[in-house]
Amino acid sequence: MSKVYIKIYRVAFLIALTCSLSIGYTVEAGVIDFKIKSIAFEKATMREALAVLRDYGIQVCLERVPLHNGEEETRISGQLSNVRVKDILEYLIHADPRYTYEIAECNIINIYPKNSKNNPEDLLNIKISEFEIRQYDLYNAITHIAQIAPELRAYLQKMLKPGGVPGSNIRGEMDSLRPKFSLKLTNLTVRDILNKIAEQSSLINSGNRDFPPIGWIYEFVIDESSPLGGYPTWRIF
Amino acid sequence: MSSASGFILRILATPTLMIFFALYGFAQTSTPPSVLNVLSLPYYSVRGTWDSTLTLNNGLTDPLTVSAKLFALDGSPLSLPDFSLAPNQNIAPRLSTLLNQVGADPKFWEGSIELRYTGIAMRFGAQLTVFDSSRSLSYDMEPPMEFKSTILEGLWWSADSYTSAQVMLCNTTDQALNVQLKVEWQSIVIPAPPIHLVPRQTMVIDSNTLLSTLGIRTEGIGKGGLSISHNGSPGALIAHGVVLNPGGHFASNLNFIDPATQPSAVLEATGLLLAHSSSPFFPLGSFFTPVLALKNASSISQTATVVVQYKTNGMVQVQTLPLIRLAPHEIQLADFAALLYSLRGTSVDTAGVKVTYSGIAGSLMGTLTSIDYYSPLVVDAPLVSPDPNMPMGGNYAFRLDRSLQPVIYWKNVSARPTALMAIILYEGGRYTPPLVTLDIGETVSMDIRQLRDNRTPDLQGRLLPSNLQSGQVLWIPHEKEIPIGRLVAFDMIAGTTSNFSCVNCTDDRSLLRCVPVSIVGNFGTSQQLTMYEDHYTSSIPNGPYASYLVTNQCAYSSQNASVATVSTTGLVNLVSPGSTSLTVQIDGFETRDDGFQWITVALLLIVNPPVDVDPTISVSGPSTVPLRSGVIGQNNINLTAVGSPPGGAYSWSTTSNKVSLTNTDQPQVTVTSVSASTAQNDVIILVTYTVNGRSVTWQGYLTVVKPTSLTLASDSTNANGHTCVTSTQTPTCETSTCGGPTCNYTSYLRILTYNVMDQFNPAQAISGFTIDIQESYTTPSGSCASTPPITGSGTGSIITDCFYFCSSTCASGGSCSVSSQQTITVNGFQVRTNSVNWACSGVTVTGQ
Repeated sequence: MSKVYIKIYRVAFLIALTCSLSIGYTVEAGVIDFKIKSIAFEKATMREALAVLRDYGIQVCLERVPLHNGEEETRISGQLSNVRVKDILEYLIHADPRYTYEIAECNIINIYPKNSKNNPEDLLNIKISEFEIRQYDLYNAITHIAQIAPELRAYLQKMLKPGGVPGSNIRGEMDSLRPKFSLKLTNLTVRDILNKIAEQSSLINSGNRDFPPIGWIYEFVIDESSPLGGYPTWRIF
Repeated sequence: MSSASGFILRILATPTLMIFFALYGFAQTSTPPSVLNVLSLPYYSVRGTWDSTLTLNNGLTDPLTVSAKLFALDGSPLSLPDFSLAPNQNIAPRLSTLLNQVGADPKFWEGSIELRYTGIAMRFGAQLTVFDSSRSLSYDMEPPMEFKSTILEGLWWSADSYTSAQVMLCNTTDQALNVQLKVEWQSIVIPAPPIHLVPRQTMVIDSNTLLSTLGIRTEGIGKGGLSISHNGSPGALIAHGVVLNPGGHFASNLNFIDPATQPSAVLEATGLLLAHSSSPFFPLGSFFTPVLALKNASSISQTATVVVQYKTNGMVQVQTLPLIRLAPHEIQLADFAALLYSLRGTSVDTAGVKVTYSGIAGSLMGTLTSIDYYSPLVVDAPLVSPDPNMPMGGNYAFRLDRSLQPVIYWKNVSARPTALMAIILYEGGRYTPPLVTLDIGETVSMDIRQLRDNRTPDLQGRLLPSNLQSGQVLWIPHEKEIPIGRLVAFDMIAGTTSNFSCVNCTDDRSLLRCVPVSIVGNFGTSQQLTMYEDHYTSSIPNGPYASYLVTNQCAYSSQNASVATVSTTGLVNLVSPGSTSLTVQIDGFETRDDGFQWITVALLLIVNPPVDVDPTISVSGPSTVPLRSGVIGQNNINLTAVGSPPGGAYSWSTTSNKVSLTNTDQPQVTVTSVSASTAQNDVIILVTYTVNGRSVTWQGYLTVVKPTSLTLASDSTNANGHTCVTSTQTPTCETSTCGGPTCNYTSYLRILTYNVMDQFNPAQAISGFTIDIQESYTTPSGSCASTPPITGSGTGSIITDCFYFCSSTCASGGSCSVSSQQTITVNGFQVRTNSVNWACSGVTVTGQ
């Protein structure tokens, strides 16, 4: 169980924190300089702590440190007052030094393991030569990245044993209302593509309260018995 | 009723006075002074087959003690026990009973009566009926009052030679009186020998004896006049007489008047029974023949014009009788023959008579009697000279016991239509009939027994008790015109009648009342004002004694027609939001005792009902708002208010912390959920719409629904419903990428559908919202586990989940399986977990 408390000075600005290129507005100050009046964590995982920022409109993307199945995560506690977003991030990576962060596409915050960008085994580093989706469901673009990013799909098909791929494709009756988008990218990593999708969510959803901008979470559960060494999952965040 | 103060004046207010009352309302009427009042009745008899009924009527709202003293013919006094009268009570003891109770000497079987009480003058009435039931004979009298001179004038007439008359002269004082009688016979005035009355003496004079004494020889008593003078003060001598034919069941009052009290040269009578009466209690064969005898009491010839005003089938008819020329001191009878002939076969509802004479006021007097030889019944209709400046009403005692049939008659003696207020008072209640309206010259009647037995509700919906036996009828003029009135009690078994005409000065003040008191309504609508004229009097405490509907008689105006207008019938049209007031007014009158005289004041009754016109508002939108803990999915709804007229200001608010509101000054507010409802409709939403300072508030209720569980709605399987291909752009229920380099085979497809349920018990489906649906799986296990299941996400409240298994092992006939734990979240809330096992033959889903 964890509890997170936060009060933000300028909540009204938060929607503007995202890159709203469609309306010609650029956030020059940067998301990490915005102040938050108070925030408190109590035995929060990194995901739970970042969810607080996300809930106030800040797009956060998390590559979680690979864990074994059932392995307990690091818990973070603390209380901060009158701090910038940057201070919160610094506090979090100080509390769990395995992480670092950066500002990726247009005020999208990436938190990831310190060595992951240089890890050739990291699936997020796979280079996709040509990525193209048309009128694709915004949120499923993240969860389906392993199927729609060609080099990633090919790698996984090669690495996985020919057992089977179970499917559980959940839907709702109002899926047609969900935001859809088209995207064509070349020579970007899977991580970059995910950030581009997150960026797209801020562009196409500006002002839509039911379908707000999103980030992503990549988790890898270590399992030595797997040909891939574990199980990757991509989810929206 | 009697008056000790006597002097009554009527004043119509000047415009200045009217303005005063309009501005300051009613002056408080002072309670009339309580004084000792003495009333005298000249004659009673219990001798032989005669008896007398003394009716005492307390018109006060307080108990009243009345002391009574009888004086024998020789003036000997006999005090009776005091009478105690409850408020507004009347009693009618028989004197024979009272005399027996006190063991009175036989000399008290005839004499006079003196009544004394201390209280407000003219609020107590007395009446004496002398009757012989065995011979259907009766006559009656009320205490005479208002004497201004020492002269009394009377006349008699007879229909046959068997009729005689008696005249009773009563000395009401403790001093001796010298009395001079003059008989007017065939226009000749013949003095009778002087009479000396000792104190309190009553003398009964037989007409035959008197005529014989004066040397007048005639068959019967014919017709003649009596002029009486005395040496006492006005009122020291009172007189009454009766014209009798015992064998013919005929008895008629022989009244005396003080000519100095007659205010005009007009005599009026109401309640004349004429021809066939439409009253149901008279026998079918009844036909009333009026006899009007007039005496010229002056020494100058004069004429008299007699107009009979009667009503048939509700229409007032007027018939002037042949002109009557009267020589000095002559007595003549009016000629009804032609009128009666014309009324054969016609039922007459009511009738009255107006006599206008050419002499000075008081120079002509008369007696009016209707005779029905069929019943037989003799009914007097007293002629009175109404004073248009006396604000008098009446208070009549009535009884319904035995075969008594009390009927009240009123007549409008003015030159314009008028109205009066009548109230029936009885022990334990009151009854207010509608306003009695009278056309010019019209006589109207009110049959109290019929009113009781017909169960006719009064203005307040009250009924007279079905066992009502006695009470009072109080009536008060409603306009400046003063009608005349009297009550006639017909005893249809005894064949006698009694007349009650006690006048009564009662204070009366009225207020205009508006229902509703104020008008509050939406613009564009209308509301009807109902106006009542409430009347108050100290005679009847505790609220108005009468409330009359006067909606169509009032004048209406609006202070601001752009806010509200009002029609001539009191229909208020609410034009636009704002506040104003109306003015409603009607002419009214107030009667009060100003300390030394009774006055009637004209005044304007005004009320100013406020009018507040509100805008209208309607609100549309859902009644539930979903709760969300994640970042995606609907957690708000819009409520849209439409205020009318446009241009006003909106203000939304809530008393609940389960939601937050944005755009609270706009027509459309966004309601965002904060926490789940603990009960249905526990979130109150308010929106106030204000235009021109007037506001309308709408209040609605919302429920914050939290996605809590799923219920399975359907479950179907298609054995080859899914195609596994080498690559696909989008994994769907029908197509997905297989786990291997190449593939092209099919898989089963199992589809489950769920409904999203709320937090309540029993749970209700949440529908119609774009709520977020997500699924996740734990790390898979099993012989074919190599990658997490391909998942999806959705939007809506009906969830479809399709399961398939792209396994080359299965496709090649092998056997393998994958197991994982599925978690479904809706709007960020975990609503279901499933244990899922994909095998070659199918998938098992075990929910929790």
